[in-house]
Amino acid sequence: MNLHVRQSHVRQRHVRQRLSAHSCRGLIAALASLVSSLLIAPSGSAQDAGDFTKLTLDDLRPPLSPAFVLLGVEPATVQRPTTPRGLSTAFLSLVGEKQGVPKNFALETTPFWLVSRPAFAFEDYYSHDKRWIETLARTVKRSSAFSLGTTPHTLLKDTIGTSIGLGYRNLLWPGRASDKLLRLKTAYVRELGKCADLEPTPKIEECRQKLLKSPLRDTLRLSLEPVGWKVQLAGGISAAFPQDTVQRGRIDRAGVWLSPSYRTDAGFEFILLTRYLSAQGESVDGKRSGYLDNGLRLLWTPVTPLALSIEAAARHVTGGSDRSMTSTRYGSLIEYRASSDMYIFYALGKDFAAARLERNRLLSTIGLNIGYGPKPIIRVDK
Amino acid sequence: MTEDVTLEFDYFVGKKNVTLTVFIGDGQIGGSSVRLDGQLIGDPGEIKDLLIGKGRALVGKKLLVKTLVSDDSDDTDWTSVTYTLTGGDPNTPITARHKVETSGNGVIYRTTFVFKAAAGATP
Repeated sequence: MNLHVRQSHVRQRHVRQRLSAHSCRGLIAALASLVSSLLIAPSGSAQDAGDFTKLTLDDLRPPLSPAFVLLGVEPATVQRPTTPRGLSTAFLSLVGEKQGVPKNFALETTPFWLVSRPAFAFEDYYSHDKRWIETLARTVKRSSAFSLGTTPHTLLKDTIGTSIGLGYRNLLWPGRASDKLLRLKTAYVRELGKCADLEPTPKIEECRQKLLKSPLRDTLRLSLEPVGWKVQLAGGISAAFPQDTVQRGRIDRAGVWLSPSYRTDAGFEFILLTRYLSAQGESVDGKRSGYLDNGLRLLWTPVTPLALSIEAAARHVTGGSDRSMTSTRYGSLIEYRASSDMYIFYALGKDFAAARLERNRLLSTIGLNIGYGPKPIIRVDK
Repeated sequence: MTEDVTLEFDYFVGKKNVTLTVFIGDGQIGGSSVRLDGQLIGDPGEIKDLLIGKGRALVGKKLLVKTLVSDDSDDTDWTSVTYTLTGGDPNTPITARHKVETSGNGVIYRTTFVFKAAAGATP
């Protein structure tokens, strides 16, 4: 039986190392730590799964898989069924276990793409209908994605138990294709046409491979980001069942992410980010904390590999064992794309941690982002 | 790797001009080349309302449309090509679809239209 279920073994390694510029000894220690961290098993995506005490502006972006973020896991294997049959097979595996719900289950699906869409053109990722409500409905329909995950522990470190997470994300407004993208696409289509005219098939493939490695295609991929207004939404909830007992089940975390942004053809981008998280405390009294985080970023990409940005974020914490607290973070960032899988960045600003100090501290950060693995699961925003 | 899809259809022509449009679906990007009895018509790339010729003059000829679709989408492994010929019969678009075996593969569609005289039409 051909299950049409694609399992992707994708691992991404992101390494960020904060360097304190205050002392030489601190610098040496930090450098040593940076080198060693490059050799350690991956810590995961930019949004450190499950750890909501730390915060960067990237953490406020609507995640690709809210369920996994709320569960605090980064599955190495995620089922992504590509057909309705594959989806039902994946769900059947949830109820097929004699021991109950599987302990390490991870699934993502975008229902719209479970079937072939021959009437959906590339330009439809960016097109608008005559009425805004039709554009909204069509965009939500084709971008809605669901994530489902289970882990064999709960946030109280009770290893006998199961946590289940459900997540949803979509694009509320798609933006539009930039003039540059349309020009690049026309050129790319022309080159594909030239390859198509060759014979036999190995010659066609040779031509295609050359095109895949060309600067034209690379630039096209980098230009897929829409211009104009774009709005993303994500949400999720996780529940824990200690001792695998339904009666002891409780809601652990719930979160909502919202991100409107505006981008111009000239490479300026304005992004607003809002996230609200409700998390059960890890103390015995289990008090619930609420984190309301807001962020703002102004981004400029003068040339494709280089990006300059100014950002600010504010957090307001309520409930839990801590008193209510508000703190802020602001800074500037320079990011350079050294290769298709590597980014170097330098950041200067004030972190949340500084809010607790008597004298606010200006921090300087240099870092390296490395990604590896087969075809990336992170989609270029559409 | 590039996977092959080969198709052949009869197309019945009369007096009218015959035009061709090639539409790439499933959010993918593809380019085509069109040859009539081996002669290239138009430029390779996007094919939209390409004039093939007058119906009567096409009888007995073969139109080879080759379309290369590269699976660049992260949403799906499906590719599809819809051919719309006007000026003859059938007057409904023809869609071919293929799911790549491995994400990132290409698909070369070789579609041949054999022009025949429509019933009652004088070649």
